[in-house]
Amino acid sequence: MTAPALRTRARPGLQVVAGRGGKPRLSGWIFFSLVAVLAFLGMVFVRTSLDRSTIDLASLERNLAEARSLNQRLRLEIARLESPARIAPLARDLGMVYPQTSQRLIVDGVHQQTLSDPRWSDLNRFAAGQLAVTDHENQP
Amino acid sequence: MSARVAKARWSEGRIRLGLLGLCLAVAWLGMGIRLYQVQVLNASQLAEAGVGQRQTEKVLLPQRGNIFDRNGDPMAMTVDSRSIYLRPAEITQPLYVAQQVGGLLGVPAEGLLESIESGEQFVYVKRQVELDRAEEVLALNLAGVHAHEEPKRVYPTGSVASHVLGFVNIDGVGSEGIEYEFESDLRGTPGVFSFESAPGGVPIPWAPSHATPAVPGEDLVSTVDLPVQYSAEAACEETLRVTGGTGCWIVAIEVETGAVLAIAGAPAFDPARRVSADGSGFSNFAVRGMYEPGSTMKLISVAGAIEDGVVGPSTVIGAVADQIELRPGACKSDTDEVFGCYSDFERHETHDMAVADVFRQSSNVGTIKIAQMMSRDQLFFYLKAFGLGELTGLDYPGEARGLINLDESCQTCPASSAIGYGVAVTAVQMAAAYGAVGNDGVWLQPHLLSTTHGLDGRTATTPVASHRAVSVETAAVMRSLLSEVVEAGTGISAQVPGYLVGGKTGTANKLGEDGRYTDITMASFVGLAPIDDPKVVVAVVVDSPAWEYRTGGLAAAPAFSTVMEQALHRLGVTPDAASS
Repeated sequence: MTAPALRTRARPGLQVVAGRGGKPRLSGWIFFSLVAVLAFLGMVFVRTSLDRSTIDLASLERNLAEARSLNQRLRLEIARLESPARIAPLARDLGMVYPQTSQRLIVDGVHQQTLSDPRWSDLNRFAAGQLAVTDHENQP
Repeated sequence: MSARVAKARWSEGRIRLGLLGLCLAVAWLGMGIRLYQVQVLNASQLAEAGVGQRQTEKVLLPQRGNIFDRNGDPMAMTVDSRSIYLRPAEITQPLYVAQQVGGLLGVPAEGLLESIESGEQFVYVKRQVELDRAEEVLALNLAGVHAHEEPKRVYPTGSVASHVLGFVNIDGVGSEGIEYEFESDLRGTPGVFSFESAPGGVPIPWAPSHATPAVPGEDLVSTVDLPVQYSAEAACEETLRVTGGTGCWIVAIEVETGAVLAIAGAPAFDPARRVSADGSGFSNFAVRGMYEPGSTMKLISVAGAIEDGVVGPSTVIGAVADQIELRPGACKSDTDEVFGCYSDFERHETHDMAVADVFRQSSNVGTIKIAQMMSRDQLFFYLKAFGLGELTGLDYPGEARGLINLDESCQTCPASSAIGYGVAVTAVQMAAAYGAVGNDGVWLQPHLLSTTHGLDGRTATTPVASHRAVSVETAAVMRSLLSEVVEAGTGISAQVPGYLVGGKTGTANKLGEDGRYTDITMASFVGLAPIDDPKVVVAVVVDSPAWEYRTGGLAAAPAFSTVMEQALHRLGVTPDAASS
């Protein structure tokens, strides 16, 4: 058995109009545009930062190379200044000579005649070092 | 009607349109085919070709290792420099460029202008220019003037130790001395930097690149002591000035290790300019030059005789005259046609002499009489035992072996060899031989390299060969005899204040171009100090001193004294009690 159709009662003053879809469509585009712009700006920022970092890095590397080069030149300068070929004539001009009288340190218990014994070779070196120090201190 | 329709369908305009469409279709088809070829069929090939065009490889030159002396003071270093070059095609004002660049770099402008106008694509103005000077040139901003980096070898001590160091060529490759001997250790391994570049060589940013860094060469620590080396060179210069000799060579070796403290020569050599002070080329007579040693050889003859029990220091040699004739008529001939006449340096009466006196007075006749008590094989054995006629193994290129001639067919050779004639030695060989006496009879291989230091921190030390030449007792006797030579013999000028010294003079007449002996001498002195416990051996050889300085005692012994004093001070050797 078929059910009876619903009856609709007409209301005066009311009419059917086209719906607007609930949400405004424009806000999606604006959001998308904003994201795109922000992403673009972000990429530009990142790229700029990277470029700046690269420039900074290159600058640091250049500074490092310059510092190394300077260090190299200074080492060379030191070596030239320390060269005996430069110092010896200066020392001669200043009248510096090896001491004509040797100064010796006699250690108690160690007889002078034993100094040439190979067993005392270490002591010889020690004494010679002391001698050098003494000579240095005695220089005017 | 059909004719009208056909006419309308094949009208001229339609035909044109059709043809145009066909052409377009064919063109698009051609492009498509070509695109397919480029993008699909030949894609990889073309991509490779593209990369090949963009890819640039730059060789990264390694830093050559430094060379230090035993105290760690640099003797050879590598520094950054730039080589200035021109691309003449880019130059718009040739004369101006030649004058400006040539003026700053000390290059004649005329020659530079000629090079610019020669049509060459590339012209070097000057290589390995110091950075400051290169900056000055580049600051001129002249078109066509460029620079590239190139390491430069420098020797901060100038000519000091130049005969040891040698030098490198303009490309930084070792050509002489230690620089040549240890080239493989010093040079390092080149690296490569590959990158993509635009036309003009400008690197493309963010393009892939790859760098294989260069590996620097190893640093070498030499056994040389720079102050001793300088002292030896100064002594040589002074010796030449005083004696008027043509050459002077000094070798100083540490007795207990065989470490070479100095190898010095005069005239000096400038490794930066690669030329000697007198304009000659590089030479190292101390290692490569052979000479007849004269009386310094007597140490070996007498030591051998004592070692084998043939004689003792107090053995009396009977009837020692001032002349001995080994071949009949040799001494009666005024010429050298007949070899076999040997004389002492000074005339004297015939008398008996103890072996010690023979040695102290450097009697040729007495030494020959001692040698006659030995067999030819015995003498040969001791010459070899003391390292003569053999390479010492010194780590230096081109060492001379020397000559020993004791052939059975040579009647006079044993006698002449015993007094240092008919044999040829090097100064290094003689220093090492005397070093054996100082080292209680043990011969040590002289060496110039102490250690190598790699980038990885690896350190290698040079092994040193050794062998016993004579016994401890014989060595002690010989040291005693050597000390008498300096105390009261021919080597008094070799004395060193504060130390007891032992040594032997040598004076050998030089052979002339006609093969006969001349009055010109090769004067030498080899000695040890302190003689009771030797630390240093020094050999001095003076070539062709003036007549009044013709002996080893006069020409070479003073230089020995100077160098030995410096070496003993440098090594901190305690002065001898007897001399204090």
